[in-house]
Amino acid sequence: MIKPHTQIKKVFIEKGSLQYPLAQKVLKNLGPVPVEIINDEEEVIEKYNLLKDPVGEGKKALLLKPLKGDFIKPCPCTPHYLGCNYYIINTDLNCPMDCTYCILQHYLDNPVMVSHVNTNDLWEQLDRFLYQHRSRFIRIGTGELGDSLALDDITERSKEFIAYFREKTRVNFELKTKTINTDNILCEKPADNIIIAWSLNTELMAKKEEKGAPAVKDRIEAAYEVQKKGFRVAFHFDPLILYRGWEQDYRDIIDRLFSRIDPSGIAWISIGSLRFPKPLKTLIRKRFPLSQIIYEEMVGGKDGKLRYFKPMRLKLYQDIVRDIRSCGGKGVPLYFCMESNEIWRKILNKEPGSKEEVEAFLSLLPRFKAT
Amino acid sequence: MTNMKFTQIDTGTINTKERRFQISPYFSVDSLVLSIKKTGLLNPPVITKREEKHVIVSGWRRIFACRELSIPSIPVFVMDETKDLEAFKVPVFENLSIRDYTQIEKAAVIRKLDGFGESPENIIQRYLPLLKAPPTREVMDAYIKIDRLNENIKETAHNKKWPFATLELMTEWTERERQGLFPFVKELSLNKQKELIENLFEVSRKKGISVQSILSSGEFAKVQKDISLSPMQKAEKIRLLARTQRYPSLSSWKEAFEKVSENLNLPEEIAVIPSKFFEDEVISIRLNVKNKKELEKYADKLKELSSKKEISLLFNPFSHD
Repeated sequence: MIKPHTQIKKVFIEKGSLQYPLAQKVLKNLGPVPVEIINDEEEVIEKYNLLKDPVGEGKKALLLKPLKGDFIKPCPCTPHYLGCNYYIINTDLNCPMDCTYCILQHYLDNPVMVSHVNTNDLWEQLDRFLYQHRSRFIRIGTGELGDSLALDDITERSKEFIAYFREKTRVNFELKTKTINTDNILCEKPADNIIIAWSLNTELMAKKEEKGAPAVKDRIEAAYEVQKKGFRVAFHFDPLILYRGWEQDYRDIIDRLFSRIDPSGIAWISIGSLRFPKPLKTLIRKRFPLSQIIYEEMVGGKDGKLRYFKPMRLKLYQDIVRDIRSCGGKGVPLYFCMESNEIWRKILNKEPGSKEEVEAFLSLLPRFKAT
Repeated sequence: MTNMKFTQIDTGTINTKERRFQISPYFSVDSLVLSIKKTGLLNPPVITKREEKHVIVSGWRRIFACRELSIPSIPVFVMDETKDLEAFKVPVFENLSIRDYTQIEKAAVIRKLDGFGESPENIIQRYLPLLKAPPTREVMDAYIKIDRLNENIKETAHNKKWPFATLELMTEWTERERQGLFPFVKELSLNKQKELIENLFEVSRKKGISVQSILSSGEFAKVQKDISLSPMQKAEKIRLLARTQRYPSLSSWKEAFEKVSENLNLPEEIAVIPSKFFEDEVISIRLNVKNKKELEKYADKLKELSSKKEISLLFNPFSHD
């Protein structure tokens, strides 16, 4: 497996950012790569807008800069569907992998990967945030606007996050990835509130639609190693994708998952089906002309995003949940990402009234005791 | 700043076949003829010389209107500019200041700028924002492709002000596909045009067959052969067929819902309406009443309906299967 960071062929550094220890660490870990000092992020955006495939080219470059605003934000979820009160930490934006369906292609203005180097501000903001929310349980993670571990070889952020959150017992901290970049994790002492999560799909979808990502069996093996080390793990079957033969392919992956992973050490499994804002369809059509995923029967949801026609989603979820339950995951907490109360009720036989209820359900679960 | 000389020239000496600086050939001179007849030519066109002949830089409508009025000579600005790129900037900026370009005109501007040697960087960073388009290479390339579309398509797209997305999609079709669909597309309103183009494109890509194959098969072929239908009726039927093929589950769900609703024999004052795309489980019931008495009457009717066994089918039209 080639480390994702090896595809970085260029580093941009915003003027003044070299003073940050993380910037120096990244440059040292990256080795010899051309470096360009820039005055402003806009320069990079303008430069990449001149290219035929700015999104694809942006995956070969990294911008090091401080984040001027807030690192911590509530997960935006989507209007009119049920959220889970999750918080996101925006340390690294974008990702070296090139998944067909990735929302970041459309969502981020800057196609280049960005690593925010002012970690001193991050810890201060986190201290303040956790103090402000000291009366409640928090679920927080870094894998929303980028893959949590894709750049971990060069940033080594996972070590610092684990060290920081280890003592924060009212926080569940999640690192979410598609990679098998677990070297740093495996060197750390596990903590009950640190969860390492993998996005899973069928092998066929991973091969066809998740360019640059490891095979799913390898992700499961990485999870096995991490669980063996004593960490809690989690999985995200998201986005589930409909295609001819999906039923058997998903069953095979679920079967493989439970043949390697101890279900009692799974913090949660989230489930969500393919969905995206309409403009992403055009982008997918152009960037991935051979992909068929946009030609399934997708209609406008209550949030305006395209998603599978509801009866098709119901069937998809029914099968996935049945397979998870029957393959060994009977007691594993399941939740839906960006779905309606109706789907929760019909598939999981639960009807959380609010995102706070979803959060409570996921936060107050019994902890896994590593052996 | 280019040198301009104000002078009077014979309209017959202008080479109107030379269209290198023309942004849009799709214009009508009728209203301008009327205006010039009443007030004369108030704003002189701009011309320049190429191969010893006068060619139009800006003011095509004005010159054609004067010709139609058989005005022998007109006042013009003669531009002393040998570089095509510099000359072309005159109509580009002149038009920008007075009106919005259609997507077809924007495409012509971009392709001509490119052809006259303007750098892609300038086109993207300077001209695309002026044309109210995103400043990216992708958009520039798309406009160049749009300008290469066949004239009949461009004329309709210009006149009906097709949006960028529709045109961009058209560029991904083959010329045969475009010409095969065009007779139907042009009969429809803007939103329906977009819908038909998108749906047929997606059906063809999903099935891996050409648009012609779709149009020449089954129901599509029948509609086209039906001599009792007007071109507009055919276009409408083709649009609905394309929608059914693109969304088979949604279409059958909708059909089943309508059937259940019909079987309930509701009075015309009561309508049951599903949520958009059946995404929400809530069904709306619309009641049209004129007075309290009618309200009471139909409230009773609704109560009676709610006790019917079939009413639950509205919430899942296929549950009886």
